[in-house]
Amino acid sequence: MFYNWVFDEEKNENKIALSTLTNSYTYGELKKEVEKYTKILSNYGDLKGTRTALIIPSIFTYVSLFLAVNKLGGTVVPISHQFRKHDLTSVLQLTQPHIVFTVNQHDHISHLELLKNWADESGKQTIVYSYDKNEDWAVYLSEGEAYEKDEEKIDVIGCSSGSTGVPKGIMINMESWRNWISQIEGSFGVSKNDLIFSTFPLNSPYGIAWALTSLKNGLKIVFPESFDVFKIIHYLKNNQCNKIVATPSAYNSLNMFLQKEDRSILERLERIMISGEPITPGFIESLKGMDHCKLTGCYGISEQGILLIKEDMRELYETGWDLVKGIEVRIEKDRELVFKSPAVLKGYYKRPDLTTEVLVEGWYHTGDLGELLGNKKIQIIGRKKDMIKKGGQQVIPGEVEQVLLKHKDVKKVSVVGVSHPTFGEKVVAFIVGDKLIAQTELYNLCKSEIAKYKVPDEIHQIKDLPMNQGKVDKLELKRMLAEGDL
Amino acid sequence: MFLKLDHLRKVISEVANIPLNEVQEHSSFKDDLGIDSLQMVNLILEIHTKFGVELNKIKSNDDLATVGSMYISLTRD
Repeated sequence: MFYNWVFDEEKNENKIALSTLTNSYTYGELKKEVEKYTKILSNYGDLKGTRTALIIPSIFTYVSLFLAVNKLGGTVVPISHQFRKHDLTSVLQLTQPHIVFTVNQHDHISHLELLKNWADESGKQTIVYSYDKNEDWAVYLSEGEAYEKDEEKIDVIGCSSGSTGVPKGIMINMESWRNWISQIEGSFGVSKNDLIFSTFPLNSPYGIAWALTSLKNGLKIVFPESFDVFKIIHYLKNNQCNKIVATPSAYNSLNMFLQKEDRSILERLERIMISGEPITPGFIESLKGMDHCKLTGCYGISEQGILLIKEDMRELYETGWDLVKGIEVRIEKDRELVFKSPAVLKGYYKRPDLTTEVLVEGWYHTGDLGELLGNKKIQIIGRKKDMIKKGGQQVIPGEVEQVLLKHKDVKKVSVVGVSHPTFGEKVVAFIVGDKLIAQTELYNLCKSEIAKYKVPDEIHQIKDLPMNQGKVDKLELKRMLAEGDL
Repeated sequence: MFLKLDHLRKVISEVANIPLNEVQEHSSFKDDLGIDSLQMVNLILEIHTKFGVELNKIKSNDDLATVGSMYISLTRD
């Protein structure tokens, strides 16, 4: 179990285990907190087959609960606290947690209210723990029959938006986590002398893998509780971070200010590790003046861990990606990249159909397109799946489209991703309606239903959607937008 | 171009898709306008591009609390 990886005999109780921008917690404090939650959860007997959802913005509380649930043999379901009514409800419907730990209110959203409503409407029993500003926990129990327990052992169900807007639960077990950690250890040459800054949220599998690597090896990694550029810059000024783990858009945001403000922060960096979005020629251009630093890029997916690496990103377009040790690759006739990785998912939760569609004898079909350059080098050339990557987060057009269609006057809708200097890609919605629809109504609808990063950056009302062979012609929509032909 | 408060309000309204009348001098970016950090970066870069305002005029998070405090920080010598 994760607990044994974290609290082995060599760790000194007073050593720092977790750091955020404002606080640090020792292994001793973390152990105590894990024990506190283990005691609470022990009231529910053996947790095997029991799903516990964590919707927690505090990293210390989140990690403690994560370790406690796993210690008791339960399934951890990490859920983003940025989710709103629509995306939160769809993830809850898929994973049907027996127990939920959440915060009463965060960022003007009453998570407790949303959870209570969902639990009551489901007619099933859910135990909802929620904490307030003073970190006091209260319990709410909805009435009804208990959800069925899972027969198979599942350690973590990571949630991602599926390609149709219906979420997918990525089941990842201990053996795969062990391999995720080995991939990070092997690919990035991390050591105990480093002070690493990571911008990845800890509810994503990649973020979890970094947290586990850090806790297992006693590394000094700082995980901010929210991506706040100025707080991060302030922290970097006062702390000697030598490595940064970030998406291109997060790094770009920091870089743009650091270039003007304080280049010394950039000058003391020894390595930056970039992943989570395509590494574009424009991004590589922004790395000028960073010759003193190793500029490592990596390509990975939640379903399989880290698959490709580029030791020096500046050469990516000349020489292509290298395979990470232990990974095998195949390229299909339609140029889809298919990998075999020891960090592979167990399957999609309650979706054996989807699992067999993409995972065949250990080979996973990524939905990304690529080509072999020879000498086992690979170039990624595009995406088969309809997905937008905004600020390192996935936005599935189908999910945003479903929300916009809830407006009574919206007849048709199509959402596309368009290249953007800060976000990587921005979310642009095209709608069709019989009468002119007030933009404010549409933005307000989206803001109340889905996480902020999924809310369209632009909404355009057009006469009709262009069609090609019975499908919305998204390329034509992008052309119309680029040429102002709306 | 010399930056006026109304210019700033207009850019904020356009970038964050919020009606202009809701973007007031006292509006808090986080609490009233719901602008997150990445949007804030985008907004500042828009202002930098449109009005040539130097980014290093922003000294701390307090400068980005409200529309008014951002205006003061961007226009100080």
